[in-house]
Amino acid sequence: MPTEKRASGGWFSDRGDRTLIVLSILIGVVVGLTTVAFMLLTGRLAARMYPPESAAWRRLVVPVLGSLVSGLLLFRYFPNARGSGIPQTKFAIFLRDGYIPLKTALGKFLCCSISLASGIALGREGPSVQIGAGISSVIGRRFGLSTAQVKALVPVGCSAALAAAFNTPIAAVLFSLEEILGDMHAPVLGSVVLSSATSWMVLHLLLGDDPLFHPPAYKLVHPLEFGIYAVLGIVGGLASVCFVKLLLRIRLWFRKLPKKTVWIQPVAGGLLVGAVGWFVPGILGVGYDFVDRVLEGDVALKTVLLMAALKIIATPVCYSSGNAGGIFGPSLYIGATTGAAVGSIAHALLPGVTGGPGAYALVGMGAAFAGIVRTPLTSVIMIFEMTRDYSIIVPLMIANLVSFFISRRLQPEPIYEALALQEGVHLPSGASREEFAGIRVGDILDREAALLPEEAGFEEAKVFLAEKACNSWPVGDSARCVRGVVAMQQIETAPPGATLVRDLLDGEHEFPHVHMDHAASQVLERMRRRGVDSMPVVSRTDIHELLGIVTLSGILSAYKMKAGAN
Amino acid sequence: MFPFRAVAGVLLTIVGLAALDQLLARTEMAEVQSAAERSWRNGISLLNKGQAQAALDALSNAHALARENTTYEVGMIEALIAVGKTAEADPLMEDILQRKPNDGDANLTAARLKLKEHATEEAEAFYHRAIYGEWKSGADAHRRDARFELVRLLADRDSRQQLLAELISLEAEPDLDDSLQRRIAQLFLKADAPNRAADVYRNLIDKNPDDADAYRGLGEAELRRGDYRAARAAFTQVSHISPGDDPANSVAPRLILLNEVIQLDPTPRRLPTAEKYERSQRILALAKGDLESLLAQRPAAATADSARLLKAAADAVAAAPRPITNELAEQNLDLASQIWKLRVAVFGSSAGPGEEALRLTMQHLAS
Repeated sequence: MPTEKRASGGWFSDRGDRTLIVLSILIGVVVGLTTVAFMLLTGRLAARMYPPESAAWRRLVVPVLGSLVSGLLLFRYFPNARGSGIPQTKFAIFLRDGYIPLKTALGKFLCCSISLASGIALGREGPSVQIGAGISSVIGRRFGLSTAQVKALVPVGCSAALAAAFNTPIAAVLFSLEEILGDMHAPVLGSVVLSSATSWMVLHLLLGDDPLFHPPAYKLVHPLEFGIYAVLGIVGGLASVCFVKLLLRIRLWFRKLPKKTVWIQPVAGGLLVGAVGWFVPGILGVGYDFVDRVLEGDVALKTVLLMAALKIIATPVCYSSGNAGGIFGPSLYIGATTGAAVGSIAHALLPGVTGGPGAYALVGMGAAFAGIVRTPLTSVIMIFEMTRDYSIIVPLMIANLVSFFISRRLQPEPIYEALALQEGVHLPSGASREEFAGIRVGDILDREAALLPEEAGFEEAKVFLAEKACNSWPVGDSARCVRGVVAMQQIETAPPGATLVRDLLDGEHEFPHVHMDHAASQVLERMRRRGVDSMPVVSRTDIHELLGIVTLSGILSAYKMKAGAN
Repeated sequence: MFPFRAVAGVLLTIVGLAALDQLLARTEMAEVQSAAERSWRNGISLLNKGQAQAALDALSNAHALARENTTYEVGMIEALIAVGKTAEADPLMEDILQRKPNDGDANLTAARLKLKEHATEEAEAFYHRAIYGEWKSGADAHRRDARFELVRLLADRDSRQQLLAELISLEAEPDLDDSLQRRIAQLFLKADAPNRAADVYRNLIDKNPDDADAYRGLGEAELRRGDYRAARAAFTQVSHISPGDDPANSVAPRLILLNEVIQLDPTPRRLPTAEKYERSQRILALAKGDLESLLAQRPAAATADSARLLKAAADAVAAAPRPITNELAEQNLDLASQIWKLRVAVFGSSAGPGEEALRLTMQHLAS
């Protein structure tokens, strides 16, 4: 648990949601600048480690040294900066109220810069997300926000980081909601959008409008290609499952090694990448240059198959051995190479009705991302934003959904949940939250429940509440017309002269209520806010018209039944 | 209380990060551009050496490093054309032309691409757009080179009128060096404009009276014009300037041919009637022998008309009339012309080395 003092009741904290808008913009700027610095620094470091036409021995020595240095730093100073950063960010949100120390963000920046620049076969986007989340957490705390507000700012930082790292602002918003929060209707949507847009603008101001990849214009040659894209989805899904299962197995193996070897473990990844990189330099680093070549359809079938296989092995070893770096980039790499392989074969067999391998590589990127990261919506929008080509949407949807379903069928636990489970942490999955969010007031209300009569005296009301085992109850007349909600506390602290329940009602004010279509989670939130444990369910056209009563115990029973059924 | 320290801290961080980003971005841009330029130079050098595949790799790398640079992209397309990947070059070319429709370099490459795809009419259009397009530097030289490429295409296609039009435009350009003038003169000959070719060669001779190549070109131009004496004078000048010419460049065969033609020529003023008759007899005998040898190779081509003409020629050659008159000479020449016409109609006008003098003489008589 965090040891840092949690500020609350500060200037920003007291000014509610409006300050969140200002802070979202501020976080967008800071995270955007930091992400750009991270990308540029990693790139420049890599350029110095591998000068043009440098000797082959560098490709062996540099990854080993890089993983050794970053391994030591991670072991001694930044133990929370290991891995990709996505599970760590989710831990922070769901287990630590959004607390991420500045040291972790700095450590992630430093260690990832070293390991990625040295050629470790991991990605830079996941770490960017953790760095962004860390920055937003630090800013929130320094500005004296409440714990809940700091927690709400974490996905804001995530989306800002991803918008800058991938140059895809919409996908960044979706990823924050779909994967980080697991809730597409999260109340922080506005802030997430704002920070994403701000960060994207910062990126454009600094680096211009150069997309991450430069695929040629996409063109669907023949409707038969939809079938081939479905096949690509199957291949992408299978490749994703291989990748995820291998990564989890290798990680489990590394976790069983003695604790004292943790500092040296990353060298295993460096050694493997170095040995492979000696012969096949394209495997080193994030590999986006190679992906760009694949997207141009410029790589032979044998080469893309080899590179896909090598990446599926190299990345799990690098990740599982404890190097700092993410799996987004490798997912795109694997997707592009498997897609190009499928495209090459399809084009060789059916040259008249298929496009070049580049088009399939592009769709393959989305398919692998959907299969590995398990965010089908984000993957479609991400590739769409990268290509800015609307005609790719349908092929992407087909391949991504096929890949997603195959991956879910063969590897039920999404990668980040499985990684968390290996750590002994049970994160709430997006799916489970969705299931519970699926409980509606209409499913759990008591339609026959009687109202507390407004003419009742206080003693009668106390007996009534005791019978209902509630500390509050809706009040109304004999015609089932709701007048308000009265709580036991109100009765006990009634002003002198008040004798009837009616005397406690304020006819001018809106009383606590819910509607039939509200989610149970919303009812709980309203109950918490108003300090009641029962609420009238009223008509949307007339709030005095009673449709039923919903109680806290009823909601909890419904959740219990749902959990039992699952 | 307003968190002044936190706000100041964040603002300072923003300023610091912005400065760091600027520094890193500038460093990256400088390094990447330098690497791209290195790669481009290497690629162009390899392309010029004919190592197309290696050039393509280098130029693709240059393009990948600096995608906004049209020169690198055009270089890569040139390499794609050189390795024969025209299908890959096409969409890239289209993309550049959409972005920069008036770019001279891009249009010139598009012309070369179309030429490689045997779309000569489209190639011609792109050459024209390159000639009148925008060039970043050295526009005059680039336009001239583009026009020369177009001229080569037109010469290959034997589009004489268009070729002549382009050559006239080229000739009008200022500061043409001698080698360019020489190429223009050669192309004028190709465009069937020996007068213009002769003018250019004379220009060259004015500048350098010891220019043997110019005299040789002038000789050819005069020969094409039918001024055999002027041609002989020019070729004689070549033999005087460079008497030890290698056999391949020797003008001796030309001089022999021209002497022969001049000795056959029955048209000079003040040529005695007897001499004219004598020459007409030789011309008639040559025409008759030429047709007979051709008919011997292809007997099926013999007709009553050819038999009649050959008999008349045989009679005329064998005759020894007294007195010799100009009319008799003219009759011989008329009969020789009829035989030549028949020969051209049946066998074409191409002649072997032995008949070249006859061909030139008949051409001269017909003009």
